[in-house]
Amino acid sequence: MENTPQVVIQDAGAPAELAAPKQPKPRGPSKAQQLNKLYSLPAPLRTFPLPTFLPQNPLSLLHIAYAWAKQVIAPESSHFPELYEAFFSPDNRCVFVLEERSVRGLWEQGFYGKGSLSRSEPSWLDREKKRRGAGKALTSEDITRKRREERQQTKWERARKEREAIDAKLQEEAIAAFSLQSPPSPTQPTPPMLDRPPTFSSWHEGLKYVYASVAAPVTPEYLLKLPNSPCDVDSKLCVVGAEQRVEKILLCTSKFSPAPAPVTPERLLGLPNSLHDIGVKVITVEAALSNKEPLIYTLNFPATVTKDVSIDDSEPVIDIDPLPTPLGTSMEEANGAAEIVLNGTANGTHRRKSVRFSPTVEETTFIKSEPPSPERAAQHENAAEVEVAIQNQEHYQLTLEEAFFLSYGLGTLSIKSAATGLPISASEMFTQFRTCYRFPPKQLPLTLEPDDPFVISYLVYHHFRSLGWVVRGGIKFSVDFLLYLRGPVFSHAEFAVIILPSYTDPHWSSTPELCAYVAGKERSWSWLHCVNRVITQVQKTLILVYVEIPKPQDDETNMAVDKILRRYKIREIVLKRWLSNRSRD
Amino acid sequence: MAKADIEDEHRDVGSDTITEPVSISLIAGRYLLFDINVVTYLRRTHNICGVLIGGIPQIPQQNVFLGLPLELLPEEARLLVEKRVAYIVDDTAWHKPKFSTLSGEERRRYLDSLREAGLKSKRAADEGAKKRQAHGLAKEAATRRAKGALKPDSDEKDIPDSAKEVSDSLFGDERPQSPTPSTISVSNKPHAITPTTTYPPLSLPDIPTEEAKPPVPSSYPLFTHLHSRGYFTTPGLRFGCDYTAYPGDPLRFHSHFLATGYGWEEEIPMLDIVGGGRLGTGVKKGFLIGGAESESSTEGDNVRTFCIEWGGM
Repeated sequence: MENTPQVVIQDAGAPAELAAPKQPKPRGPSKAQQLNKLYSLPAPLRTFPLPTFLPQNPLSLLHIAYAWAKQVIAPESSHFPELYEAFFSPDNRCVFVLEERSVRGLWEQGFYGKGSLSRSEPSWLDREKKRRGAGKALTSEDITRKRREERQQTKWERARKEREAIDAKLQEEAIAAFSLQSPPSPTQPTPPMLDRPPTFSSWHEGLKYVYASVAAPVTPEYLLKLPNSPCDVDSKLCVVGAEQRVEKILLCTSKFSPAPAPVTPERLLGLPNSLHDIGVKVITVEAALSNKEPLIYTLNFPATVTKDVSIDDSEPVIDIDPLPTPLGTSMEEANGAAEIVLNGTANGTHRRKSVRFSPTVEETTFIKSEPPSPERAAQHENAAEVEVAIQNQEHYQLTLEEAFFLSYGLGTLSIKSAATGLPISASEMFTQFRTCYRFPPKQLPLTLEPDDPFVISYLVYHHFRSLGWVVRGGIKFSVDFLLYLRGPVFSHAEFAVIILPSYTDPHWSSTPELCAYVAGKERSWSWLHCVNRVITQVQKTLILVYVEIPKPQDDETNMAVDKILRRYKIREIVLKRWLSNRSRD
Repeated sequence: MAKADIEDEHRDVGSDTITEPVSISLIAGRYLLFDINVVTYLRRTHNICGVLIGGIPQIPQQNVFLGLPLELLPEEARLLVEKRVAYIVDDTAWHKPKFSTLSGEERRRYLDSLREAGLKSKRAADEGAKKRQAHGLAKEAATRRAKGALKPDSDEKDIPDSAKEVSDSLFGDERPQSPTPSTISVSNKPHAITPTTTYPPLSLPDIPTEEAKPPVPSSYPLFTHLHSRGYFTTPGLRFGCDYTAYPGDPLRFHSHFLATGYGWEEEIPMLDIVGGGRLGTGVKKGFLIGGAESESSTEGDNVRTFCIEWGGM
């Protein structure tokens, strides 16, 4: 019925909406329509299409003629009257944009650049507002985080179910074994297995039994408890007699087994890092109990805690390791933003954050919509004040290819030096970008090599941009570029691009030194397999882009940028992992 | 002859009698093993797996399951040579002059050994046939008895029919109906044998004391490091790495690491680390990189390894 369910949820609290639920609301534009409107310009350029010709309205011809004449006589620039503005800082090897208009324009008209504190679209301010309870906008980071949380939850659920299945099976087997061991009743025929009931007299059999009784380490907790090598086990066991040894280990295992497998992220974070931790924790609790002090600590085994100490869920519990701290002198005062930890209440709305810059682990859990601590809640009552206080800490970054394409290729961006604030010319920018593209940056003066990495990379970027693809960096998928059909907000990337310089010119095989140089640039088959598998995993298609490297020319350093770029050729090869077994119909 | 026979018997029984060093055939740049006993011995004793590359004669139209010969990686061959477990024999260079000039007593012995092997195979086949026949007859007798118990009146008619049926089913598939199906007359002719190796007649070249070691890629230190820690390794091309490392026999375990070797001073592209980490985490393995430290004060193995995991998956 409702095409935008989230709006309904948000408005559910408003009494006005509840009062008149029957009133048909004017249907707003759909999400796709909104996106199409917001991202209607595929490039930061203005176009002047001729008006449509309407046969039933002869006057439209006049309109067309007027528009055409206007373009012919006094052509308007396709650039915006005010160019977008960016600054280039060679020290940071970065082109950044500060002005809000330029940021929005560059993002919405062709998806150039990224926010320095965001995954792609600059959304730090929105998230910050939301975090402080002043905004409600749902950013892409929120969606991603939500999806990850869900995925993690599913994994824990699966782990729990697997665990349960194993336990059930073990129980079943234990019952079966028990029935075998029990003395045969006269009515039942004796099974042949009963001739030799399991005995643990010999050392080896005992050891086998011990190993069998340890559950397979399906959870991190169990993994941590396992000995590092059989040698550990042996050294532990060599001290006492065979029978005792077996018993001892059996004891150990039975001691561990009641601890439930962690089935939520909270519990995983609460797990001890080593056996040593467990010992400390248990001791502290015992000490606390003996002193009868009203101290409560979070424990790594909630089952144990609930047995020994009654946890009041509403009471704040502080997790401090390893020294116990009374409630009053907690970190809450120490750093002002520490938070309540509720280990037992694994509530979906609570999230836990751990900061590990200090030797002790400080953890907080907070409800997303709530302010960080109840004490501060009063301060944040009125959201308007906060909004004024928040200053946008984020700036917008352009990669060097993007910046060069926007300024040199399209001419819609004016790049200024961050140091002087003066505009940089195209050839100057070309040199500076080439210098900055490598790490560590090469010192000027720099002779232009034909296989300069910036030149190659820019060529490929320009190539795909001019074919209409939205090109973005692909380091997260271990490729050079990702190609989006219309943009990242519309669909996932279709193709992943890897740039390979190709030295087919005879010049490159003329001398042994050059041959060795070219051989050093070759990549291995295993590298290609690795990249291809990664790309196939994320359901994209790999494109190998070969850039033909021309032979070097003498005056190349002083050549115009157009002339330099014109000497290169680009070939594309689409690569796909194909298995005869899987691809058979 | 007799000695060779005994040796043969022993080799069939088990791989315990493998005497080190074993020979690795170098053919067209590949290090190959042709003897199944050597293959199992190396796998069991020295954690060397290799890759089976030969087709299986009975099921030739697939390449999922492969048989002998076993190809060893250059690293594996080098390791075996360095540990003096094996030595390399250039098969072409050794075989050609020896085999073409085979004559007189040697030649006769070689032909005899072939004939002997053929007879042995023949005998085994005949025994199998006999066993099947006996089994079929016993089964037939059992059914006849059961039928006889059920219908004692009509046994006169049934016996010849069913007997004929059984005889058809017994021999129809395996050999054509011949007028004289006598095993004795056929048994004189041995099976034709194609030996997998020509070594028994051509006594092997002397074990060279100091020989050229197989050339290995730069990831060899990592390979020896993993091997010394008891890991089994297989070639890692499938996963885009140098080796996949298994904690035990690959038949029992999944691999734990995708290992890639680098030189100590070699620059590792950032994209490679991202790709390897993503792939390793995606297939629930660790992406392991390692290399030999060039200047190290410690004795022996100076390989250091690092494991990389992709966090966002």
